[in-house]
Amino acid sequence: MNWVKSFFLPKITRGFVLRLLVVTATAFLIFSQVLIPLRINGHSMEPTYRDGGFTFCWRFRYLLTEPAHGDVVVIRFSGRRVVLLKRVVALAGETVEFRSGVLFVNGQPVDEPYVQSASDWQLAPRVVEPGKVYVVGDNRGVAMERHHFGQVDRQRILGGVVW
Amino acid sequence: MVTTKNAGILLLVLLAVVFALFRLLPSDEKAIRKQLTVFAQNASKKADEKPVEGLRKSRRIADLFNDPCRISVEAVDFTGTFSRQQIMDRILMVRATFNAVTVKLHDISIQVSEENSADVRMTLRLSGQRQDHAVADVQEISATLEKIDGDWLFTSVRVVEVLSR
Repeated sequence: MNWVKSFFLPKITRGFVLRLLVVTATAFLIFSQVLIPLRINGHSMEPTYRDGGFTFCWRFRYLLTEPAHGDVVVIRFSGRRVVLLKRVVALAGETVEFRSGVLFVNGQPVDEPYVQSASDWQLAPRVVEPGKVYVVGDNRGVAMERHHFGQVDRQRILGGVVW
Repeated sequence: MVTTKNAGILLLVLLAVVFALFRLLPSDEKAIRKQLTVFAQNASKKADEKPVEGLRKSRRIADLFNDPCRISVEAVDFTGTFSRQQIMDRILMVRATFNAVTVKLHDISIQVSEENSADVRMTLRLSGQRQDHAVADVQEISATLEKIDGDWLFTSVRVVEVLSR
């Protein structure tokens, strides 16, 4: 049981302080720059992500690749403290529209197994501009006017979610 | 006698003094942050707020704006140059639509130029209750403030369109 005591009540040596500093600095760097913890606040991505849930933003998700259809991305505002989680439904140059709640991309209906709520959304066709992607939340049960969705600059995508 | 230990302690004390001075000395950035705090506090509304209190808070918010001020909120069709009175009327109207609301400002970046002008970017987060349903919204705000008669006042405010349909 000696190791338990030394684990919880370690001797404060120079080596211990140095190790503690290195671990603290590394954890700070990882969780502020690479794997940003996210607490979900809101219902726009239900049922995939529920209000009060937790996940991480993986900053390197799109370092070598580009966002693809179906990806859940993290969108920043003026910083990283408040972000949006949304699903990519269309890429630059594609035409997106909603007909009676059904998503159409390039005129073809899209199978969206992650959408559980019926909706009556109507949105006239529009082409996604270069350098942008079109994102929508999974919860289509709310009125279209009260749902944040649309095309967003690729530069605003901070990364992807870990789960 | 100056030892390494004493020198270390002296260095820490000096650093603490510099840090304290940095924190305590007034600056334009702190003055602007104070104005933003006043904005957020007065924009928020408790469920039991009296009309007189609502009027007083709206006046306090309006006092943060230059007369006139350029405002662009395309989503609610409130775009143009408005007098302080018009801004106050609008604030009163918007606050009245909520039973209760909390406004918080996050990720504030302030760039002060030499000409008594500052560009501010921030994320406004609003959560509250309107009639029978919960309301939550997030918007990025881009604003310019100018130091006029010693006070930092909004001279232009724009809601940045992060997602456009």
